[in-house]
Amino acid sequence: MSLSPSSGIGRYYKHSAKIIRFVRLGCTNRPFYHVVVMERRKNQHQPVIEQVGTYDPMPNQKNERLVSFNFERIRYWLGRGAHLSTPTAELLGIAGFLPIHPRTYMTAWRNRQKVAEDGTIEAKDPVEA
Amino acid sequence: MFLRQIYNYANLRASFHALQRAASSTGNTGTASATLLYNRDPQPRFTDPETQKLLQSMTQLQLEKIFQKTTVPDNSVDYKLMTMDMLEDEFRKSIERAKNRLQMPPVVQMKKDERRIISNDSALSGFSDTKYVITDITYGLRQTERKVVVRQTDGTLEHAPMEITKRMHQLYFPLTGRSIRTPRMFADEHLQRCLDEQKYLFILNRMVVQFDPFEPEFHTISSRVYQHINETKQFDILRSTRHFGPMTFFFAWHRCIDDLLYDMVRRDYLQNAAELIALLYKLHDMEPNYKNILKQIDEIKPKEDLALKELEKALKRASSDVKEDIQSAIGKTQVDFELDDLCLPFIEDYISKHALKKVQLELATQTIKEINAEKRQLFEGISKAHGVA
Amino acid sequence: MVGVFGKSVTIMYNHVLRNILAPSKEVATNTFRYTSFYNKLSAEDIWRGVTSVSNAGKKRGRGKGSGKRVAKDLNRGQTIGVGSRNFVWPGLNAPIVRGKTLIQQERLSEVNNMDRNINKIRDLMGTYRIAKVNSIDRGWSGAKMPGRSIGPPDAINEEMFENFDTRVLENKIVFIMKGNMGRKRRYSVLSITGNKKGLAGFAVAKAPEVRTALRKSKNRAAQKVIKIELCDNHTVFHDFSCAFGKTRIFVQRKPEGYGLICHRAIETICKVIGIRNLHAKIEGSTNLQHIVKALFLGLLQQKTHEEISRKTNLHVIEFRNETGLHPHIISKPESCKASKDPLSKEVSDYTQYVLDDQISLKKRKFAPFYIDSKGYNLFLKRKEQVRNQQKVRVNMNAFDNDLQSV
Repeated sequence: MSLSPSSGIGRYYKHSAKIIRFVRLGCTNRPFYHVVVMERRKNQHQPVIEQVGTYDPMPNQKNERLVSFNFERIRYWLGRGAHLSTPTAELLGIAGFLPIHPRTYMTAWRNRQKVAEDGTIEAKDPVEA
Repeated sequence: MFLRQIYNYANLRASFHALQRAASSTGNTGTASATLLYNRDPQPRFTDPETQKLLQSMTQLQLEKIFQKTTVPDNSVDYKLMTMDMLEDEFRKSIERAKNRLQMPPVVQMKKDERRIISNDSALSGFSDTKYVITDITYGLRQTERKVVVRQTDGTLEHAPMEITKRMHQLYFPLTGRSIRTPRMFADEHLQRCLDEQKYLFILNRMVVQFDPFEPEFHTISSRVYQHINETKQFDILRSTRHFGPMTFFFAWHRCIDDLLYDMVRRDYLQNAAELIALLYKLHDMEPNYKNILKQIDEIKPKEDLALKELEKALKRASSDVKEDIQSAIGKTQVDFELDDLCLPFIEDYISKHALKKVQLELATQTIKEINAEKRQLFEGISKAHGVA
Repeated sequence: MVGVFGKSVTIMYNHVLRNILAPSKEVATNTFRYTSFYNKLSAEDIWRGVTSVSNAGKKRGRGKGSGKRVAKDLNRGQTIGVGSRNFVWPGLNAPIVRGKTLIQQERLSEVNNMDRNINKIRDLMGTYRIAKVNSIDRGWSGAKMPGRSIGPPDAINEEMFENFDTRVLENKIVFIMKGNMGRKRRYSVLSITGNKKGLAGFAVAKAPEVRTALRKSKNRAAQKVIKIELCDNHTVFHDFSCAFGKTRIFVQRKPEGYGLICHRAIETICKVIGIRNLHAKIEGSTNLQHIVKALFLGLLQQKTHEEISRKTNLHVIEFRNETGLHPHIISKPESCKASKDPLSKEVSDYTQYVLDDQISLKKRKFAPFYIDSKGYNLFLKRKEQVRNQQKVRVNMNAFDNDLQSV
């Protein structure tokens, strides 16, 4: 394997700022994200300290977006004072791990407004099993 | 299509109830027109030590069947030089492995899928056009401890239904042999084809890997297979495999043991036949005197070392012991004849009192009686001629 | 000063340049040679020179390949005066005077088969072909004899060799010096005959004719048939090494389905004997006669399971992966040691025992040279991203004819 492993080989300073953030993998027109812990100042494609989750933003056949978190390690890194990027914080809010991020509420409100303006309420309901 | 139905939560519950209704309506008849399901929790009765002992005894430990030739990636052969003691040890280990292979898949109740809501946030409704499925991938958790939650588009956070949970577990922590989507062979038409070709072992082995014992599919498929076997009377295919016990338990639970009993009598497995009847009595609390006969069987049966017996069997080709020659010629020992004497009245008692296929069973018992009497005469004659007591 | 100097140099340069570009007429002399082999030699000689090899060249081994291809004589089928245009040339392809009329130059009809006819003649020429052998009957290489089957041996006194097959292993020309004849040429054939059930024999025979040599060797092999024990009817009993002269063969026992991974001669021999699975490596000389002899020695010196248990007073137990490693008693001794103690060193390991305490050298495998190169790392990196693509694609297509994640 020649890609850097997601279990983490990233070197870091003890007191440097860490952040829990996305790394965009996948390819053109097909994003896939790893949720990782890395030094804040680093580029996303550098070796990471640790991978703590995944996020697939493209809905699957059953119209679900799949997210996974290693909550134990996330708790550990937050306890060590790691920062959170906004998308990650939003996802953790959706997962019920953190309070809902204000931006999620904003998105929800805007979506509702838009639907109300369009007057097409039924068409927007995507939930089906 | 079949899958879609199962995936659908509402449909799942509806079909579950329909199946239960079907089970309760046809539960007590021996017909196989509808899928028979357990109407109560069978687990306490199944895991009961006495039941387990009966089931294991009926399964039988035939080494040739358990270690029959299969296709393996590496079919190399290894040779070893051994003394008698080492050989005995090796046989002991092999018997342990065989017992391990015969470990029965549990028979438990179907699990119901309930909606468990964690929180409800109406301010979130419409935050996304799809739901989010969040899985905890913390290392070192058991599958049962691992939480899978769903955030619906209306902002509700709830525990994922069984179907999603299973799919996520398989996605992030795959089990070998299990596939994320239900294999096509379990769809109705393909399953029927497998059954018609009598690939019972194949279906059951694959089912055990693909489904958990508490899943509805596990129950419906196994029930279909058992009923098909009951129709075709191919019980011997499952004998000495891990599925024989659950199958017997299924028949005893649903009071349709007559065909299996006939098969056992015909093959001269009289002890097993008695045990089967005892199991039926036990499950339905019918005749309490079955305990006596089990006790007597235990007393008569010598406590022999299984490994040594198998080893002797393997070595027998070259041995020139007269006693063993007699045994192998007739296939029975003195103990076997005593056991037969014990079991036959018990079986006849069942036939006269409870059996549905009386004529057939009576005929079979009569035939086996005559054959055994002849064999006994022969055995005694030969023993006397050789001067063996 | 500088200007003056520069001017004189320019003049000199121009002078030289003029001399080079347009040299004076007296210097140039043109020589012409009016003779060449084109006008000295006849057409036949020139033609032969192009298409064949001289005697001296032949002795040095030149033109071995070209001999088989016959050159095309382009003159054949051509007549002077006849060409692709259908013309009457008086005096060339027609008489000048016919009766009393003087024949004129005349063009006849346009239709002319001249080209086609000539091409047909040329196609007929040079169609030399090697006699084709059916692919099933083919030997190791092309139409050569080694590896080919020459049928069962001839019957001896109505004793038929049923189910026997003979294969040629070696077919070569040998010379001996004779007092009156000088170098006398003969063909030497080594062949092996067997029934694929453990009976086989081999022999060398020489004869002046190939056909006679083949027959002699086949029938001689039939008289030397010996019995070779097969294990499970498909392989050898155990690993062994055998040698003859400078040839040493290391043979490994292999399970059903492995095939014959060995020298082509060993493969042929094994097929004839009835061995279907085995691995063999030859070290040293690959002289065919030595290979055959070494392999036969090795096969004959194998220890059967009965022999082993008789000599060691131990049970020979077989463990097969396909039967769940259940111990299967292959042979039992008359009386067995009944000790639980570890066995003596010489019989503790089956392989070591059958190899007579020899240990086969396991050579270390070195990583390929490119393993640390930049390009290979880049290749791995690109490969890694698509490592599961094929599997996923197949799975998705199998289930719903669509490419979407689950």
